[in-house]
Amino acid sequence: MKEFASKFLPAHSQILMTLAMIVLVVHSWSVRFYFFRFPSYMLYLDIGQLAAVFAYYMAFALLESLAFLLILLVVQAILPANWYRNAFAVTSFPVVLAAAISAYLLQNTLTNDYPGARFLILWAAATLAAMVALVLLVRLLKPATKLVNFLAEQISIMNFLYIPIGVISLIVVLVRLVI
Amino acid sequence: MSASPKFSRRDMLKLLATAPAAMSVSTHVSTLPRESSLKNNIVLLVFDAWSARSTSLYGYRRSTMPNFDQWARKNALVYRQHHSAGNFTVPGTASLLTGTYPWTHRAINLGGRLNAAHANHTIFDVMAPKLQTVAYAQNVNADQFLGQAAKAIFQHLPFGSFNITNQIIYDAPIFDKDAYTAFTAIDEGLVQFIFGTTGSLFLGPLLKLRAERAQVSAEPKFNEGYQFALPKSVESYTLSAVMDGLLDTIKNLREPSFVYFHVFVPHDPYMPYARHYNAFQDDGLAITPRETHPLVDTPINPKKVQLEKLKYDAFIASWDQELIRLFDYLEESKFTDANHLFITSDHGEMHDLGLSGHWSKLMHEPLVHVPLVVAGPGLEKGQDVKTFTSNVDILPTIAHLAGLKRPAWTEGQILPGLGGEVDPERPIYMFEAGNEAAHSPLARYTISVIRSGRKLTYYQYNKGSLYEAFDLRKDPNEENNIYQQGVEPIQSLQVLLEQKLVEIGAVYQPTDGSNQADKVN
Repeated sequence: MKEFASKFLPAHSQILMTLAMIVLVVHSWSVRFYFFRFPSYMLYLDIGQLAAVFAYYMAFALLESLAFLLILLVVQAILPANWYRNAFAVTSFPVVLAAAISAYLLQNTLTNDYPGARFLILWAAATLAAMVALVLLVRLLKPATKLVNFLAEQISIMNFLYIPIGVISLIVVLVRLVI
Repeated sequence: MSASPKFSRRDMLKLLATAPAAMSVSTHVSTLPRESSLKNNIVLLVFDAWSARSTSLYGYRRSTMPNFDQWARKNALVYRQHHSAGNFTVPGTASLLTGTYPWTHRAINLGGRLNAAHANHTIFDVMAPKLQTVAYAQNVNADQFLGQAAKAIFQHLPFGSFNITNQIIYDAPIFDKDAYTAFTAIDEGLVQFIFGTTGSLFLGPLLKLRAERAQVSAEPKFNEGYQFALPKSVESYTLSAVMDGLLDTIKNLREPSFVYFHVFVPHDPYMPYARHYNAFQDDGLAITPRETHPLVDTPINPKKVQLEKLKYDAFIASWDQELIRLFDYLEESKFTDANHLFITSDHGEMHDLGLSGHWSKLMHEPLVHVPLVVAGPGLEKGQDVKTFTSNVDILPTIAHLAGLKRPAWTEGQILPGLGGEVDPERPIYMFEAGNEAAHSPLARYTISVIRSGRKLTYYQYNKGSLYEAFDLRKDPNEENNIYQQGVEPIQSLQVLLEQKLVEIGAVYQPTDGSNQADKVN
């Protein structure tokens, strides 16, 4: 197992820094949305229900973050180590950033009508191109690499905030589903 | 060793040859009404957002429901002046299911549900000791009440039972014990299928796209004859599949049951069959909408209102086409000789005064005057009940028909013609407070009272307050506001309304003695 990890996975610290970037983006979006809906929730939910809905938001965000991380881990395992694994956090930063901006723009573009496969393929291609461009920028420009490293380290504190909230929320949701 | 009987290839072929016949018999047998299932059932059918004012049985000039009209005139007691206590699904359905007014059950917001004090005061709680309870709601908001009453419902058909796409998440078995929170958090937040951005940054849009794609894929397969697209209640459905579901539910009753079956049609988006849309398009019966009411927040232009009205009427007519199969079954099985059938709506729909739909502060008749017809053993067929009734009366009436006592907490009365007395002086109320907190005193609301055919509506909002009064017997379309402070019989209605507002704990602000329409403007 240890051998497998050292062969196919980046260092723990790199994974944790990447997870921190993802949870920052995903959880912050969910928290923002929850408080956007809060005035309407207050009309018909009591305090217990408000807390339960928040628990769903945070549990869902945790699972979403882990799913995103898993995708990045799979991608880095496929790509040559020098391309991704050896600088996992620095490379993931622009990937997460581009994905988040793309998702945000897509959210605001979507109506209730299916936009069609062509539109979605173009959108995905544009997102992928932005990711590659940003990764190249960060990897090739030393100051950019330094800056991203610095930011990734600072952001890693988010793990201590959002991961416990997510885990507690997940337990709350599981208890509610069982009892 | 005894010789075992041989089963040759020829025997096998013979056996196979009998299979179609056996299958045919089995199908036939399953559609035959079972003796035990055809007695003492009470079926309550609710069509969502179905206004009496758009129904030919109630005098609407377009022949929107010729089949319903014909069946009801021949078989049912027709309540001519039946009103919902609310102007949209949540309060309307909650009043129907609890026999209480919105200020009591407090399900007053979009997405809201019954307050704790009344969570066990549903029609299912009343009926469960006597009849097996079966419930289905194709409206997600109505389905939340079924979740609240889960302990009293023997068979709760999931929301997506008769839909053809499946994207709603809260009705998955894993959420059985926490469906309401799952609905609020996931379906109305994290994924948010209906409109707007989602609470989940990445998975939200992906799930939304998946749902939209499923709907697009379903179109060529299922859209046979719809003018625009398939009908949609978050998930796509077909009118015929919903009717199949309704018929199957009734035919498969095994014990005497109380069945609540709430279908989404004719709620918007209106998706009529092309033949009905085309039939109404140039029939010369379109009504010119009146000017925008001062309390309509986002007025719709008259042309659009007229177009939506056309689509709404055609959608009702399309549903009426499907109802033929229900009425045929009822006749063949003589269902109403031994069972009761109620057909009604949770609220109405209006295309007038700048409004297209029902989500508004208004309480005009198209929004609250809903059809109610009842067929059953011993009832006078084809008779009209002209007294004003409310949908809070449905629960005590159904309890009475089942031989149960009228619950003490209900604010309704047994319907005349079904065991109740005609009381022309009885007031009925309608209430809207969609933007008020369900747990707080009510300060912004619309309340209407009808007594002896006269209707008084009081609007209390930040912009100001406004009274409107109409004599519905002489002016059913509410064109002539007869409100004048201190003039009988409106004065006594106003006293009644003020007493009610004090009783329900709403903050009542007396006016300076004049109609304050100018303040609203």
